[in-house]
Formats: sequence, C-alpha cells, structure tokens
Amino acid sequence: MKKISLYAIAAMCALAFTGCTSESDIENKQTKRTLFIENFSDNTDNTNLDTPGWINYAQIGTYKFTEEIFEGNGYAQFTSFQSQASNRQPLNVAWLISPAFDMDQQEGEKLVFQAAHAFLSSADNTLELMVSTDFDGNIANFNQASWVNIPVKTPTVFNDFYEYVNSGEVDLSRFQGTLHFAFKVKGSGTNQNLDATYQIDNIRLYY
Amino acid sequence: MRKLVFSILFVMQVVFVFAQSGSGVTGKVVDSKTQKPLQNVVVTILNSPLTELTDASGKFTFKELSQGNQVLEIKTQGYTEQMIPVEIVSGKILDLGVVLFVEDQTQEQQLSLVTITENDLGDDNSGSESTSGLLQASRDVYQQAAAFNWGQARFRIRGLDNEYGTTMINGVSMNKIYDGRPQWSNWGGLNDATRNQEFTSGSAPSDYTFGGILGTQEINTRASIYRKGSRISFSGTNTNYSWRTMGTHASGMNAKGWAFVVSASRRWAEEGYFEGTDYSANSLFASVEKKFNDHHSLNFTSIYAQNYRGKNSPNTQEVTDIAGVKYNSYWGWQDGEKRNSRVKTVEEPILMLSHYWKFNSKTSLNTNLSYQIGKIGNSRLDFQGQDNPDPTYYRNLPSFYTTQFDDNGNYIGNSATNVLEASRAKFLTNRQINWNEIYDANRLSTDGNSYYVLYEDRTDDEQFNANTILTSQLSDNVMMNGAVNFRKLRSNNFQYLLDLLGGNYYKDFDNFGTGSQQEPDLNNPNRRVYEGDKFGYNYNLYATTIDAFTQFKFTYKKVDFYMAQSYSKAYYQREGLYRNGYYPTNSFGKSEKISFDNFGFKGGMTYKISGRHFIDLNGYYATKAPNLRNTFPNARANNNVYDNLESEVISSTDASYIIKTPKMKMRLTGFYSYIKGSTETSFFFADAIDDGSDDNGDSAFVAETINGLNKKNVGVEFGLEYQLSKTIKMTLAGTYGEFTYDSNPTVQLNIDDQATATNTFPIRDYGKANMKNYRQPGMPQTAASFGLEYRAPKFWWIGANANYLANNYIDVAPILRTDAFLQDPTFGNSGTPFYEATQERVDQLLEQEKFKDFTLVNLTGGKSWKVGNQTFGFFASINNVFDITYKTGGFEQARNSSFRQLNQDVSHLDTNGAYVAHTPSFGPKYFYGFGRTYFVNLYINF
Repeated sequence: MKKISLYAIAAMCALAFTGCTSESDIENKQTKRTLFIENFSDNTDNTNLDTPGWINYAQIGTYKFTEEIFEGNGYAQFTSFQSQASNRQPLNVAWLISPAFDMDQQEGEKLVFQAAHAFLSSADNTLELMVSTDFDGNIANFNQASWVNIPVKTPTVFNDFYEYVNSGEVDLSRFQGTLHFAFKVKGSGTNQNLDATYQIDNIRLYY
Repeated sequence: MRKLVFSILFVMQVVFVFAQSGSGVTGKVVDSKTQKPLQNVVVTILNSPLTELTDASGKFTFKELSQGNQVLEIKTQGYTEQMIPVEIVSGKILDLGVVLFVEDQTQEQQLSLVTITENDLGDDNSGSESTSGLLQASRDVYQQAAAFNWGQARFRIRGLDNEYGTTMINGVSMNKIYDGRPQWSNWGGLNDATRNQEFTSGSAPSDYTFGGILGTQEINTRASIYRKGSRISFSGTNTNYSWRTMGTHASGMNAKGWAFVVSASRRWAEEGYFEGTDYSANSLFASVEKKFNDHHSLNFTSIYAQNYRGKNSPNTQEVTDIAGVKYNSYWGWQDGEKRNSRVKTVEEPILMLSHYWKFNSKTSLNTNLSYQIGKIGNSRLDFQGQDNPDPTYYRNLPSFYTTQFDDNGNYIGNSATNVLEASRAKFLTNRQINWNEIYDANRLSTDGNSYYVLYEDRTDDEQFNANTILTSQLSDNVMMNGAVNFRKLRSNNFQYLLDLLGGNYYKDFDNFGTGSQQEPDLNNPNRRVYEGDKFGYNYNLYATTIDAFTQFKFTYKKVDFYMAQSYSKAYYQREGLYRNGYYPTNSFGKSEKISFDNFGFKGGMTYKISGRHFIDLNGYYATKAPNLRNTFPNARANNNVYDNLESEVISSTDASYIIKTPKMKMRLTGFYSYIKGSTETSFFFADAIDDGSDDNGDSAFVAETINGLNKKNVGVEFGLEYQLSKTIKMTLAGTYGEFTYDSNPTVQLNIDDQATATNTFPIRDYGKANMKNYRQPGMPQTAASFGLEYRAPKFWWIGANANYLANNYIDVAPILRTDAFLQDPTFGNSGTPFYEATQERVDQLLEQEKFKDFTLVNLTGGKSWKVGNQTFGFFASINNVFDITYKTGGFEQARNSSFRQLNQDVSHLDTNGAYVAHTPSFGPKYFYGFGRTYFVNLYINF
C-alpha cells in the first residue's frame, strides 16, 4: 500500500513540474514601428527652414518655408503675406520635400501630420501632399521627377486659426522604391484671399 | 439523517449478495471524553449498501454479513471518523465492545476560519475571496488543507470564484442573485449553530441542488438534529476582531416532540490586524422544531446577524514602503479615536419555515419558505469642489513629483525643485484622513453646505424563497432527488447620507457634466439633502428566478453512477426612481424585462477497483445567466442593457483515483473547467479616464464592461493522510493549477458626459483586449502542505503544518491590452503609434506581475478536561509563525491608459538611452495577508 501512495506522489510531482507549460503564450497587441518623425524641435524662430534632411524649395516666387517657435513648440510655416507691399509676390509655390525613404524595406507604410492655418479664406490657397518615387534628391533635377497629389485632410476656412488638424492616416504602402513626400503650398502675396499662413508639425511615417 | 446516509453511501457502496449466515458485528459508540453513548452515528460496511445508525445506547449491530475481511466506517458530525478492519467469521457476531469516538478538532479550526471568509476585500463582496467558507464541512484531506492552511492566502479551489459554488441553508440558496456569491456575514459568528453541514466537491451530486462546478455546502438548521447540550466559548485573536463570545444550547427532542436550539455570539475589536479596522458583530440564532408524528415535522429558523467592519485599503508599493504593511488610508483621528471612513455594515435577518414530510422510509419531501430582508452598506467620503481627502491621493505622494516629464517628453522628476517637493510631499507627514480639516472646511463653507460628506452605498434587499426537495429511494439500486426553487427579489440601491460632517446640508449634484446633466434627479432638481436622505442614485432591481432539477443515482456492485439535469429561468428588471440628468429618457421608470433560460446536465461514475481503490469521474455542462450586477452595466444611472449580453457556458470534468484504507486515505484528481462568455462589469473611480476630453485631474465614476471573456482552469490536486502510529498522523496535500484567460474580450466604457438626447447609451468601444493566456488573478495557483499531528491519549493534541504557496498573479487591466494603449492620441483616432514604442518595451510594461511565493507555518493545539458532567476545552493556533509578509492580491490601476503614460510613470531614460525604473505614481495596489496571528478559544460543554 505504501508503494502505491509513493507512486501517486511521484505521479503528482511529475505532473506538477513537467506536465504543464512554463513559457508564456501571451501575445500583446503589436505596436506599429515609427520610421520617421519630425517635430521641428531644433527650430530657430523666424529663419528660413533648414531642418536636416529636408529640401526647402521655392518653385515660383522666392519665399520659402520658415522655422517658427510658439510657446516652445517648433513648426514649419509658409505664407505669401508680407507686411511691406513692395515685397509681395503675385504667385508663390513652395515645396518642403522630405528625406528619401526606401519603401522596399517594409510593408504598410502610413503617414500622418498636423497642419493649421491662419487667415485662410479661399480654397484656392492650397496646401497639398505630394509624393514622388523618381526624385533623386537633387533639387536641380526637380523638374525631371514626377509628383503625384495624395488627397489628404488639411485645414479649411471652417477651422479656427492655429488649430491643428489631423491629416488622418495616409496610406503610402502602394509605393515602391525610393519615396519622397512633400508639402506644397500655393499662395499669392498680392491677392488678400490667397495670403494665408500654413503651419505644419508632428510628421510621422510608420508601418 | 437518512439523506446524509445516502449521500455518504453513494461514494462507496456495492451491493453484495449476502449469505444468510447470521455472521456479523456489533459495537457501542461512546464519546471518548464524556463516556456518554452517541446516538445516530452512521456505521457503514465499506463497499456495501449496509448502514446502521446507533441507537440511544450507542449500539449498532450488523447481522447478515458475508464472511471475510470487511472495513467498518463509523462517522458522525463533529467527531473524527474511524475505519475499523474486521474479520467476519461465519455464524458468529463479532463484538467490538466500546468504540471510543474522539471529538474532531476541525470544528475548533472552523472558528478561526471564519475570520478569513468575512474579510472580503472589495466594496462589493468581491475581491479575491477565498473558497474557505464553502469547505468548512469537508473531511477531505486536500480540501481541509485548502480551507484551514491556505485560506489565509486566499486560495481558491480549482481557481473558481464562490459564484460557481452553492451555499444553502436548508436547501435554500444563499448565493445572492446580485453577484452570485453568498454573503457569509449573514450567519457569521454562529459557528455552533451552523455546524451541521454537508459538502459536495466539484460537480459531484448534492441531494439539494444541481449546483455549480465548485461544490455545494448545505447548512442544516433543523433543531432535532443538534446534539443535545450547551456550549459556551470565549476567544481571543488578533485577526479581524480581538474577542469573541458565543453561547449555544440545544434541547434535543422532548417527549412532546419539541426541540429547540438557540445561539448567540458577539465579536468585536477596537482595531483588528490592520490599522483603523474596528469591528463589531452580534449574531442571534433560534431554531425550533415540532414533530407532529412520524410523518410530519415543522421547523422554524431565524438568524439575525449584524456586522460592522472598518475596511482596510489596498496600497501601492510606495505607500507600503513609507507607511508599512499594516497601513490603512481609510481612517483618521477624531476626538482621540480612530474613525474609519470605509465601513461595511450588513444586517439581513433570515426567517425560514421548514416542513419535513416523511411519506415512508423511502421517500421524503422537505419544503421551505424563507424571507430575508435587510441592508448592506458600504460607506465612503464624497466631496464637491475640494481637494480629495484621501491621504494617498496621487498628488500627496513623493512619486507625483519624481515622475514629472516636460511637454517634450524630457524627464524632470530629478530636477532640484521636484526632488525638494518630493521630500516634503504631504503624505510624508499627513498619512491619515484629516477629519478636523474636513469639519473646518464644511463649517466655513460660503453657503452653509457641506463640501465633504460621509455616505453609504446601500443595498436594501427583500427576498422571498420557496423550495421543495424530494428524496426517494426508488429501488435498492436507484435513488432519485428533485427540487423546485422559486426566488423573488426586490433590491433598492441608493446613496444614503450618513453624516454632514459639520455642514448644514449637501447639494445633490454631479461634479461632472454641465447644466442639467449635473442633476441626479431631474424630477427633483436643485435638491438639498440632509442626514438620512437618499441622494445621487436610487433604483430598484427586481429579479425572479425559478429553477428545478432532477437527479438519479444508481449503485451497483462494481460501479455507481448518477445523472442530473436542471432548468432555470431568470427575469431581471431595473426601475429607476430618479430621472438622471445625463439620461432623461432612459433612467426613470422600468426597464425592459430581461429573461434568461438556462439548462444544465451532469453525470458521473465511481468505479470500484476493489474495496479500497476507486476511480471517480464527473462531467458537467450548463449555461448560467449573467448575474444581476453584470446585466445592467450602468445601473446607477440608467436602464441600459448591452445587446450582446449572454449566458455563460460552463463545462467541467474531473477524474480521481482514491484509496481508502484504515491507515491511509489518498486522493489524486485531475480537473479541467472552461467558462465561456463571461461578462464582467466593474465600477471604479478613475482619475481622468481618457474620454476624449482634456485631463482635468478630477476623478470620475466609470463603468467598464468586459464581454466574451473565457476562462480555462486546468490542474491536479493531491491529498494524503497517513496514520504513522496510533498517535501521529501525517498529511500531505498539493495542487498545481493553470488558471488562465482563454479569449480576447471586448472592452467598453460607459462615459456619462457624452450622453445626449440622441445618444442615450454613450459607450466608448475599446475593441478587443488581448487577455488570452494571462493568468486569472488573486489566488495562489500552486500550493503544497505538509502536516504532522500528535494526538495524546489523554485528550490533548498538537499539530504543525508548513505550506508553500506560489503562482499568484496580479489582476491585469483589460483596457491596457487594447489597441488604444498603443495609439498616440495626438493624432486623433488613428493608428499612429507612440514613436518611442518598441514591442520589447510594450511587452515589458504589460508583463503580468507574479507575486513572490512564500511559506507559511502554522501551529495548532488543544486540550480538554472532563470535570463532572462538564467538558472544558482549550484550542490555540498560531498562523504564519514566522511572520512572513506576503501579498494576497493586487490590481493594476487603469489610470495610465496609454503606452506613453505608463512608460513615463514607471521609468525614464538615462544618459545612455536605457530605461531606469522610478517609483510610479499610479503603481498597482496590493492586498496583504495577515502576519503572525494567534487564535485562542476556551469552551465549556455541559
């Protein structure tokens, strides 16, 4: 009888120590990975934007994006408005072009950013998101590249001044190869309806 | 008594064909101490259906036994059972002479046990309640270890909540319809009067109910079954209470057919084990029976138990490190006395009329009518527009300063200012509630109103039960049980103003929301309330349940088996008595009537390998209606019910190998249970839960509902009792379990201030929470016990046991396991991750905390003396001899509901970019077990 009880104890111990799993099988939610982040945190207030990696390009007119800081927060800004009438230009098209991204290294890339406006009064005073996969990063070759417009949510006249509007998730996963995205602002210093200010901040590329 | 006999028989009977030889055995059972004969002791020939009850002179005789080796089993309530091997010789009646029966010290241990079962942790009878209360009557070695040795560590049999067990008084279920759990306080302190208990384990058959998968406990209060006599006891302990007195008298049945039992007890403490936990409980019991004839008896039972208990707070590690394990944030000094702000009071008397109808020796019917009315209150402080009076409020703690980050995410908790502020944080010098400050604030209020009040969340229940239980021995081999139960509940729930704390009145309005939303009752706006008024919320819950079961038990030579089936129907309804400002259209008046139909089937068998070796198998499948609490997810405010509310599906199976010999008892069991589709509603004060609005630093009352949670419980149990010598007994018990979640449930938060005229059910859907394979919390999932007991022939005994408890896990917050946790709210409702998040860090932060394992050593001992006709006795125990500090449970705070908040709360980066842990501001809160405690009991039986 003693034997049986010993066997039983042995069986119990065996079950307890080997019979069950020891590794955790927990699968937590998977966080997405951030490829690129731009907060313009190294800005110098009221200077032409020279954030490393970015190309600041005036396609028409001479005005470019500037670095601004408000209450410690840096952001990129473009406006055609100039206080001196003599400095105003009839048409400005300015580009803020991102660094290059290798879209073959991962899948499911998405872009978000935040934009705000001030004094926006016309839908013709546009902020657009543009994407190119054949731009070689040399601004001299800008015109050889093809740029496509990606529909995205930007501030409208119905938004309050300086209120950041979320772009919503922009799916860039269909692009292959080397990708640049760019913010393109069109305005006029001589037309009061087209001289609004655009501010851009909190840019994220993730997958 | 017959029922008891049959249920005992079930496990181990075999029908033998006996030779008519006149062979047999006889004996006389007497109390070892008093030498008085014991009547109605059950004597069974193991492995046979033969059972005798001893007569008034303690004698029993079996006359027609077949020759050979047999084992006699002798047992009765309150005494240690005995097994006596006998060799039956053909044609002779073997006389065993006097069989000395020793009082079972388990009943002494039960006294100290109740201190555990009444110490439920949550506001609401919930928390990590152990299953010890249920197991009191069990004589199984393993279950006794679970109850007496592991109960203090909040061990739960098979990892199951008490709502999966059934606790009955005279067959009437005492499990509350509201949360499915028994309210032990309803008969607390009446140990002597509730001593007649039958216990069935797991899904094994009970004669009274279909039951759940944890087990059933039937407390029988019929006056005639109490052993005649009186008992007075006095105890001292340092657990929940300090002192207890109890007196009980049972008359026994007199010649005119009357029997009565009365019992009374009082337990009290100025301060229990934890600081500021005062205690006061008074209990009265009376049961009277009139036997009209051999067929009819009537019994009337009344139980009145008042319980007042100052609660103790769960604390963060930071608070414990500063203030100690016994620290309790709920009390403060007032006029030289410790006043606790969180008091639980229970007062729910039970009246029960029972009719016993014995048709013949084979069939009986027991019908009970019961009525219970009373109140449960849980007090706390409420405040308007003032600082939170909780001394452990997060802004009062050093960690508030040392967890600071600037807007750019840079750690500034180590800045000179923050370090200085942390060193003079309010909690360091003000650890308790400041009643004087509260009274001063109220006295100086501009409008004369109280800013702070003490109120109670009250539940005033009125419940009517009727049941009838049929027991019939259909043939030698077949026994039938059946019962029908009807329950009707009216439950009034409201906030009750206890104390204005020096002010003149209190404004009944909601701190949150705007405009008319702030009115708790639009039918009665801008109300001033006074002490004794209801306010805040006020509603009735109605429930009607009907259930029925039948059960057939078959006993044959080699095998016994049973099958049972049940059907139940439940109707629930809410009736709002206030028109809530957030929900003007769906809070006042009656809700729709919700109904559930449920079925259950179970069956099992015992295979008798030999007279000493058994294999026992059980299977169970049933659906279970959600309890009342989980049906109305925001009952305080509105009539809403989730569309996807469904019954749980419960299945369970277990297999045991059992050995029973005169010297050794052993059981090895493997079990598996699966509970599918649980709904869990929890209510908590959350500091600024993310409701889309800005953090205002205030706290809001939030109702969280989790749907579709599956639970899987697998494990083994082992128990061995071995009589090393006539005086020394060894016990060994152990279990290994894996109790996990097995699904990813949906999480929804009810957010009142987003209610509008068109959105009357404002929920934020958090989607699925990845809970699968997390451990179920709040109980050791591994336990082992080794004990030795020496019982001297001269009526004294000592015992010692060592217990190892491990694999207890924290209660994880589902909301942290949803997608929302990983989404940077800066970008609105998009899937944008926190840029600093890596999967490695996410997994680190969400890792379920496992509490340290620990070993508890307990000592017990006792002695009794016979002086004339009286017996004096003494029982003492020391639990946790080495004063080990251990956590019994804990929960994650959901305040840090995003990766960044949680990550910053627990750590910062050093100059190398590596994470350095710091003391979190919203760290988990923990419950602790008692350190070294003692229990001493002195009693006189006469």
